[in-house]
Amino acid sequence: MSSYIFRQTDPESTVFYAWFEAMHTRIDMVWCNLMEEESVCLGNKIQEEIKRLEKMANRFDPASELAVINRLASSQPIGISEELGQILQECIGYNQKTFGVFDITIQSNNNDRNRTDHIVFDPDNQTIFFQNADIQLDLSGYIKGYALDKVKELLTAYGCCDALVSIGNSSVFAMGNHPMGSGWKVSTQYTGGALSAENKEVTLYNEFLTTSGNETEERKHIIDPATGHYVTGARAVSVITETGAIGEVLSKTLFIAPKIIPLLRPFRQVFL
Amino acid sequence: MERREFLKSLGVAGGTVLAASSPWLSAFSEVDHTNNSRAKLGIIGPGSRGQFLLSFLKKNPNADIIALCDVYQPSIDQTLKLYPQAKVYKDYRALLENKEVEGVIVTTPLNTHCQIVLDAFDAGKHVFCEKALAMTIEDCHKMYQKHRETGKIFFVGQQRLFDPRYIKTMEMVHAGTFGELEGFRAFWFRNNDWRRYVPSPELERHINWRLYKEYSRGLMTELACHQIQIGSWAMREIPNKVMGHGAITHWKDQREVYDNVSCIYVFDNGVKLNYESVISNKFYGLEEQILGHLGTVEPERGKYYFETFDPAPGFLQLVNDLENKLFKSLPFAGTSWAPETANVNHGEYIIGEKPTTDGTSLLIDAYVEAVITRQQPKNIAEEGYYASALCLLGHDAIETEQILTFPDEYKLNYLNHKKMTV
Repeated sequence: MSSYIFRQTDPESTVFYAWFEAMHTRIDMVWCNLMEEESVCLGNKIQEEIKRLEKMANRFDPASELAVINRLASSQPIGISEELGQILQECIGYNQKTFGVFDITIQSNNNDRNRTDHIVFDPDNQTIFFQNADIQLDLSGYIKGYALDKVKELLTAYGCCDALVSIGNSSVFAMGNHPMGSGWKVSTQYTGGALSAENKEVTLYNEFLTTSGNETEERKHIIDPATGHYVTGARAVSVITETGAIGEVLSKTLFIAPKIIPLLRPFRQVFL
Repeated sequence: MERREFLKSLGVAGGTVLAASSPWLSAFSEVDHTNNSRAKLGIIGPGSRGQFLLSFLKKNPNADIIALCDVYQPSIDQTLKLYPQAKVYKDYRALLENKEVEGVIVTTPLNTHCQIVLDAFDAGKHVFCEKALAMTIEDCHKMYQKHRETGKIFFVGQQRLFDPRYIKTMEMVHAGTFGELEGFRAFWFRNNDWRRYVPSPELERHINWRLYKEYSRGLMTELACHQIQIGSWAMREIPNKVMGHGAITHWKDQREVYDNVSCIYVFDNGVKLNYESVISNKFYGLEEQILGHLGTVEPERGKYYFETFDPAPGFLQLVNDLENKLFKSLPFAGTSWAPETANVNHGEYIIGEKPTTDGTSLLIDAYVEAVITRQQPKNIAEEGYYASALCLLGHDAIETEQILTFPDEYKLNYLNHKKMTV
């Protein structure tokens, strides 16, 4: 952990801020009242964990487990780690709960709306097989939230009570309190001119804030499964949730299909 | 910038790091109690720099210029336009006899500073003297010693000490934000002859005194004295060694001082401050670059840059808020940050905005405040002394073409220096 700042703010209090690059974005993390050595150790653990998940789930890295599956699983059943198998099955479950809007097969080379039905898991042999040759899995819209859930576990294991962690500004976890108040005050900052009026401040306490959207008209990157095209327009959706993973699912879903809010009651969340 | 805004912009409340980096900001600690008081001041030599200071003093309701001294009628007339009630003197010693004058502002040519300041202290006046202090380190030392003997307020016109950009920079530097300090590059480039209009030939040396060795040390005392200080402020150490060279390379117009100078100041750990001033090319302008192993600061431009992956400004602000016991909102959440949208290192503004002040108004306000409270802000005289002493040591190195070390007899008990006891 080479990039960090540690300050003793008074005899009883400390603040630690570290930042690094992973998952094609920036990770910023702040916590209070751990000593420098402990903080560096915790920071290293988090960095290792995020890099581990990136190595597992980055479809652009030919050596990643996900890339190997994308390459080979349509020709034969491929061994899959328990963790990745569980992630993929959860995501497929979210696909059903969101009426097909949240879709990790969106990068596949076909427009079949039932692609996930052709993904077969064999729990006995711990393998995955694609019955349809064109399936490609993409976890980039999910893995940051999953990683934040793992970060929460590490923070807890190290006895950290008050922390704020951001993965790329779009996935934020706030644990406990800012030393001078209750919770952590965070405001959304959309740089797209059309969105400036939507900036909002929220106070997070043991919660996740997840944002999905287009920063500008030009920079669009989320595909609508219903059309197969990128969602256009400089707008964004933020949600507050109890887990980072659900935050990713809901923010993407609501960004793509805002009209289905009433159908998402099974999820406990706050929409901004 | 108003004083309150200034202090607020720096997050002064509870800022222990800030207090350690710039202790002279205590000058404003009693500002709430001095609202109804007025400092009665005299100005000696209100030429161009003096007029600049007066433009700020005029806006300060706590300051009153009741006396002025000059031998040049246009300067007198200009000052009287601002302060028509001020008594006019042709001899500064007569001004010093005016019992009503509590403090003086000395903005005369460099060669006259020492005697005027010594006499002012002897007359019981507080003193604000423009930089550089004097023509020699010995004279600077005499002035500082006189301040100590009389206990009167002593300010030197080092405005960067009150410039929010520099104050914030030093807070960050001292907190280790930019890592270990590895070097400094300070420079001031202009492209003009440095001459002022002379209405009559016999006034040439009087008006263009900066160009003649009898009155000035040239670029080292007029420009470098602003800048060398940044190294010692950042390092919290006085560099003990200097080497340099000077020449007249372009403006061969009978001037005597160099138009092209370079000096290398060396700190005890080998870190160097490279200083350069040339007045026949202005492309690079003016800056003091602070080079840390994690990042670089350009306080004059008001920006900092990290070597590799920048910390996020919002989170840096959070750390600063935590130090200052503030609970503010963090404006960072939004759509995903991606390297392709942030791969040009444009740097970040040190105080979150483009700079709007160079500290001069706050420096002179601080002097007024100190005259009223009769409290010498911590370290300000020492900073002023060393700023001048170091540029004069550089000048001596240039003149002798030798590597010089800081003379023991002129060291103060300050930072890494210990005063020599006999």
